[in-house]
Amino acid sequence: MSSLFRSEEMCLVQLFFQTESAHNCISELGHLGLVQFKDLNPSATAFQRRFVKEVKKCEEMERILRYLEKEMVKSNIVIAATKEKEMVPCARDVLELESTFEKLEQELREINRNHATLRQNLIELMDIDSLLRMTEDFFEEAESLLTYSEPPSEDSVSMTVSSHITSRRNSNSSTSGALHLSFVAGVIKQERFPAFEKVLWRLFHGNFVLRHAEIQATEELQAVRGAVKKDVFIIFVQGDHVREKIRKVCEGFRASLYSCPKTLYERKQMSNSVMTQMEDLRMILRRTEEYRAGVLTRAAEHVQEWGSKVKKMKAIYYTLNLCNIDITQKLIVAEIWCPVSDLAVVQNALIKGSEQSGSSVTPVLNRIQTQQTPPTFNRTNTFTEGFQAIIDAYGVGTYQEINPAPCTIVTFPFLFAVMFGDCGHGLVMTLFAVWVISQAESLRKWKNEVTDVVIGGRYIILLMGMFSIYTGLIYNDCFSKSFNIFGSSWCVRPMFHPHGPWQNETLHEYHHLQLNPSVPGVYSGDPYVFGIDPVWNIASNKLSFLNSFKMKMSVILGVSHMLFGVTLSLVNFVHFRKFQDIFLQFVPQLIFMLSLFGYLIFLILYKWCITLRSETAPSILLLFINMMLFDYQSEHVLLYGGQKGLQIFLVLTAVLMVPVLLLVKPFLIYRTRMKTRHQVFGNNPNDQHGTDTRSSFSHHQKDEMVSMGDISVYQAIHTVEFCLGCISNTASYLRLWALSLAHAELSEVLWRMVLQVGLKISSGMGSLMLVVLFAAFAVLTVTILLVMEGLSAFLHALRLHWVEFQNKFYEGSGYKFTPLSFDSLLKTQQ
Amino acid sequence: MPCCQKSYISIVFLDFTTCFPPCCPVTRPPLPLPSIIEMASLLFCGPKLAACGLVLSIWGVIMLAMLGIFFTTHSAVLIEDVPFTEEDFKGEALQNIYSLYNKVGYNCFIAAVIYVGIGFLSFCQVRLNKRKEYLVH
Repeated sequence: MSSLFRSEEMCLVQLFFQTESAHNCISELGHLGLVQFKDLNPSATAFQRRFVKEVKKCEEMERILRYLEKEMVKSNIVIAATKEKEMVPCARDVLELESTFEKLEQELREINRNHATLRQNLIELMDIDSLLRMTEDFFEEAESLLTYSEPPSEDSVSMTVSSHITSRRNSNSSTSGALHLSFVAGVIKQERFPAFEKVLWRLFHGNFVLRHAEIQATEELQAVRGAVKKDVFIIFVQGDHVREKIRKVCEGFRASLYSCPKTLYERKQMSNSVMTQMEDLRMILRRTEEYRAGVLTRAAEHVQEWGSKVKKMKAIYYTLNLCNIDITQKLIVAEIWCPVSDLAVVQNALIKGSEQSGSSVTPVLNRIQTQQTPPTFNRTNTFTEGFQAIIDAYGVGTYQEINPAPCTIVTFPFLFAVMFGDCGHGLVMTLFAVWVISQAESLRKWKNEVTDVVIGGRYIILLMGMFSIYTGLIYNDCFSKSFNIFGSSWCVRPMFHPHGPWQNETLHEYHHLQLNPSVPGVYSGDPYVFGIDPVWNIASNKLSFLNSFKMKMSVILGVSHMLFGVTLSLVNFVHFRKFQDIFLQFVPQLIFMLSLFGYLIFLILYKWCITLRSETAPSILLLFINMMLFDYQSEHVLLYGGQKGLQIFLVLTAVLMVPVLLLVKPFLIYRTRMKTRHQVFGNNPNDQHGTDTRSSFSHHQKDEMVSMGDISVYQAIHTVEFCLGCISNTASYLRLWALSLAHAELSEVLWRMVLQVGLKISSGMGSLMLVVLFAAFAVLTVTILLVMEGLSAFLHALRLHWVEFQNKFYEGSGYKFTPLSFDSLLKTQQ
Repeated sequence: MPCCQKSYISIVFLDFTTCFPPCCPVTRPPLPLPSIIEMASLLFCGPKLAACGLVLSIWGVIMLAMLGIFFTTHSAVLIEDVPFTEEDFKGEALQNIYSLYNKVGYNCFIAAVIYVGIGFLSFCQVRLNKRKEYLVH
């Protein structure tokens, strides 16, 4: 039972086990997940540790595994999810796995290299093939140029209409006769072609004939090469010198040049050979891909298993690095933090581990006493995990301090619900939370940060939704409309003649009329059974009533929450046996708070219970201010007789508590130190003894003198923080009112501006408009009211817990217990 | 390369025919399966949109039906949503207001019925999406 309200009692244990059984023992402890290994070599850097080579090997294996997984994803091979086999990895497995991995990696890399080379070759062959096909008509044209050696005409310059039409640019050189034209043929990227053409034109002034055409992109071409468009070109020139220059230009533009045979017959032969080569290459490529798929599939069956093995081994080596190996190299010493209640389980696990490794010596457990602070361990299950996480986010509790998490399970959703209070929205939130809880495992696979947070907090959201339904029923607010379940206590009819003052003319004269409860029959005398009367929903002065109600409610809730926090500090003092602090800190704080803010709550409740006339009723805020200022003038109305005397007494008591908090504790500490010093100086039988103690005491005194000032300052800060904090924290709780007002108003505006527009259309079209507008209403409700307001209320409720509630008792200066646990390791990596 | 293309097409057709007959993981008697081309044209929204549509329709049906009931029972809280004018208060004021209440209530019921239709449509889309997902694998 104690573990529910405070962290577990931990003990420091020394473990001795043999080097051979180290792997098995640590692996068993890892599966258990209940021990935290202390670092026995804190001065050693990461590279000086004993097992650093093995850790490096494990990391190398992890890298290879990641590479394998990437390759598998690229080739769309499904990685089979293997079941967790409880295999203990031992040192031999490391070497085996290492060699397997290296072999696999080498093989895969080689396959990929070959594949890339083959593909390159295929692309080249395809280019040559398209080049050969498209230059057929170019060569015909060239032949015709050779035979018809007339001076070319000047006017045939036409723009390219589409890339399929070859451009003609005739040269100006009018040399006639049989020319020996040589040519350069190649393939260039389409986007580079215009620049290429320009450069050639500028260099050679048109002493060449250039033809180009786009390569038709077939599907296969696209699959192999990608979406790069290329053009085939051929340039006919005179003379080799020019040809060399053109070659250089082509190289500059990174066009690939291919030698093209001159005669038709040779070209046909080349075309055929290229075709056969391409066929072969294609087949080889297919075979390569099949082989690669086979290798990867075989590896895919084991990849998960290997992965978890490697992770476990790395964790074991990392843990071994934390331990000490003694001189004989046969014994390993480890120090662990372990919960006292789990010592037997740990011992059994160690025995099992050593039996597995076949060693004859059982490991030895030796519990040692220590002054160091143990880590804080709060046992949680899936339900309490979320709440513990939000408490730990602010600060992990000091060892064995009271844990606010169990109380937070109730108070946090309740404060959220006070700010959110709408049963319709609460219902939607609850249903959403139920769906997330039922689908938690399959939703975890999405691996999105936001979904992870939502899944982690699914029980919190469930409770928040359920509490919101409850407060929604109390505020009587469902999508901004009220339910009239039990019959309203207010009735309008008796306000009219003959019972009351209203006539028919009164209705025409006034825009707003107020119901008068003193007229018999208007107010039935009994308040509405549960929650706020539904008549307020249609009253125009709804807000003045609700504001007053919600503000007072917030103050009551706030002061109660803070008083609860102060009470928890009492529990802490009792546990840590600081009985002095109970009287020096807890009692004055309690009296201060009760006499001022407890009295405020009393005033609120008293005013609610008595009957007053609203014109003459005193405002509680003014009463409180006058109480603090000792302002009692005769025209001020008081609530009850004897109020003046009681209030003066309470204020004086509260003021008296401040010096008690500020001065008594440092004074008492000072007095105890004086007493010890007198005691030491008092015994002077032996001079030598005296001088020794005096000299040692002077050192002591120096430390103490510094601490005395520290103590006084600390106490002063604490006192001021508490006293001023009381007021500011109480006012801070007014955010409960502010947010619930905002939520109610947003909800009402959404109904009036969106849904009511559709409802007010009474003709047949009304239903269609209603369908559309309801969809808009639903989307806006979810995004604005549920998500935005929900996050906002969540944040504010959390702040109220972290600051206003916890600074009354929580220290939060511990460190979290992080056991060696394979489950959490594998879960975080996945 | 005409020869290659032909074999490619034949392989494609082979795949379709081999994977077509089997097994939808249905627990109740399956609806008559339309052929693949028909199915492709019936599916017009993705899985997430269909699921959202389904949730919205369920919410719409429940909430609009309840609103309709509350309007037809002349609940006083909903008085601001009823489209009355000054003329309604002359003569038989109470009956006028009640008839307006009923009109709005019937509008709500009709809208709820429309949402039943939309819900059914979304449900079909969800099922078609699941089937398509199964077929691809």
